Amino acid sequence: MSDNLAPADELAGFLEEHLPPWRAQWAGHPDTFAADLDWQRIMQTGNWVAPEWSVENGGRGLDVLSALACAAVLAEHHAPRTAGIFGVKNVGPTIAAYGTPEQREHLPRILRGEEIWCQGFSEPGTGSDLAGLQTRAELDGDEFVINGQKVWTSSGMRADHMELLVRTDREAPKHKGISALLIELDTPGVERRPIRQITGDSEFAEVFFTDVRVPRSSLLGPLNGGWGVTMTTLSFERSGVVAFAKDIEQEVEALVSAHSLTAGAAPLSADNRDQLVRRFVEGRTLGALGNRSLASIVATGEPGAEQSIIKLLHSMVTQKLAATRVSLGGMAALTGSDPEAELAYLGARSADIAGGTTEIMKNILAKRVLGLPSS
Amino acid sequence: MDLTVTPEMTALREVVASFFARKNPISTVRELLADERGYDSKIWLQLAEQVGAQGLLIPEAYGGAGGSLREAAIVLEEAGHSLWGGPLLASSVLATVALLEGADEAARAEWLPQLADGSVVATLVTALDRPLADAVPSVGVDAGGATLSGAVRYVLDAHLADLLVVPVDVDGRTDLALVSPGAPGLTVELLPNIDLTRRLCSVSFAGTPATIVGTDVASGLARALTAGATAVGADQLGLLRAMVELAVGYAGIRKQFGVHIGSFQAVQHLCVDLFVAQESAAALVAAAAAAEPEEATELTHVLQAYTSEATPLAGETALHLHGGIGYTWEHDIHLFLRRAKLDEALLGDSASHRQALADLLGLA
Repeated sequence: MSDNLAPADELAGFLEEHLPPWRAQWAGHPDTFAADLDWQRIMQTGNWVAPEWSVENGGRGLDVLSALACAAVLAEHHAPRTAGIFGVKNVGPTIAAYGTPEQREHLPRILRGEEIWCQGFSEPGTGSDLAGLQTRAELDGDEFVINGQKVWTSSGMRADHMELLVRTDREAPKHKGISALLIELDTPGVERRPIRQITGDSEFAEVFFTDVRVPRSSLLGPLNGGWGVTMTTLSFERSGVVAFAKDIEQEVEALVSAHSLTAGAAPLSADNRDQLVRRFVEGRTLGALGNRSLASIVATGEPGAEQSIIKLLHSMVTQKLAATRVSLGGMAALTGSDPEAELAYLGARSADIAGGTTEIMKNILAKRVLGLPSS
Repeated sequence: MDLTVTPEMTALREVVASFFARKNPISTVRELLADERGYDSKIWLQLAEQVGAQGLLIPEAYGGAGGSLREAAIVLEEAGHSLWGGPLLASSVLATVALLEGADEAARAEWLPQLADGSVVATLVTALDRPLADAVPSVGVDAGGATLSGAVRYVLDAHLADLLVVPVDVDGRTDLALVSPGAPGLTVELLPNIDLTRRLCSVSFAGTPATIVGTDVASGLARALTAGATAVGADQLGLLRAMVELAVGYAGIRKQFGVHIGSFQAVQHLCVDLFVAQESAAALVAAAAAAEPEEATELTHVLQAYTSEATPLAGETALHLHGGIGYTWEHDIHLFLRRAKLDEALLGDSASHRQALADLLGLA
């Protein structure tokens, strides 16, 4: 077991050395992308951005337990989030799985924050039914010509590169006519606009493609074999479940502590107290499911049905927790006394939509795990 | 916390599941509904011989298997899944842990080996409707110190027990007494109860001779009740598994409008809700059973807060998914719902566990 602690201890030492000067430097502008990007570059000097990546891909080849221990150390030290997170967590591993040697040259640049990646997946007409995507890419000699539109592109405004899903064969059945391309977003014909969310901020972009020409070598994986590439990226997206489960358990604990007698909090109404305890039970349940998933990963390499269940419950608890926070603050929370709580409440409305709606997750569980028939 | 499922635990589960499938099929459950004992003593003894279930929590020095709550939870889960009425909770968990934690060495050496081999069925005479924290005994010791007086309602299997393990109040201190069945002044009445598979009694003592075997046992008794609450959680998990199997099974065979009802999204989503409850309960039982002593109380309250609400709801949903046939006496689903309703109340309902958590967490 002590082997699993060693990388996390090393990371703790690295953070203790590098976090204080970074914080001092960015004191006036915390929580900005520029600050986070600078932090990512610093982290990579110690090769800590993606320790779970194989050594061959530029990581440290850490096993699941060690990687989770490192994530816990980062959380304990309140380290900033990874600036280029989609590249590090989703696109990079996909390139590692399918990329040509030339495409794999993106990997160290992803780690160093020199390239910021996003994913062009959803379209206005294609959300849950991702395979129905219509953005097309036609081969013209040595180039693809792309026309169409993507929406809900996380980090779309900040990114400089995109893993783009396109239709390359309109005659084939929908899953068999899709290709994945790796493109630069400053290519002529690419236009981006921020999407303003109900919270007022803009984490997402819509991206328009008008006769965008990219080299044939942009193709990731086989021509018309992009659905497999998509599934790989989505499985990386969903693989952080154990960490999600633990994160929300900690958030619940923090809210409960903040309202306890020892924290000098005001007495709670019976209903608010019950809601807070219910959140505590839900948080512990998610933590227990996360532990069980971890035990499954360690034993079999697979996260088990827990993965989909954690996604479902995480969405629900995120929303309920946000509502409980606002409720605990009463009218004052609605009128500016706790802006973070108000934003978290509105922001949480995406939890049962993003990354697979609750209804889709239930459909998947029903068919793949319970074996119920399709209609 | 070690959640690794060992090969021994997997083997135990297989043996126990297969034992109950052979010895306690649903037809046998139905035959036993009207039986005063509620279970076949021969099967109880075979379980002791073949599986050693009764001795799982008993150290080897007393003839037990020296196992932990993790192993006991597996057996209790399979018993719930099978709707078995044998007195595992009363004797092999509650009474066993009360003796281990609260009785003197002489009493432990005399009784635990007999509990381990199944020859003695014991029961803990405590009001099982009361929340965990509220365990002040309602039975007192008479002046003279050798007899008991008082009454306790909602005791499992007291009508068939060979040994009554009785927490008694002695001027604010809790001691542990042993009473034999048939003792003078002892009245045991079988209560009607919604769960047709298990037996609950009221017990009263009027100058009943007893042997005091332990003094100042409040914290030991609390540990026995905590273990009991985890055991109830394991029973609830067994019920949840059965409810999922029945509902998904029915959805896959019942046809309407030319298709299986399991192909309707509304039905699928309800089945998934049942499955989520099952997996959540499984994770919480595993956590509570594996908990270190300092975490066990909190985790047991969390487990019970969850399962005591989720299991009856799942039973109601599973019954609903069966349509009209689920509403008949002859269909088995109501038997699971009934047992779930009793489990809900045993050792405190969901709200009482949430109240206990509020106190533990320091929420005013």
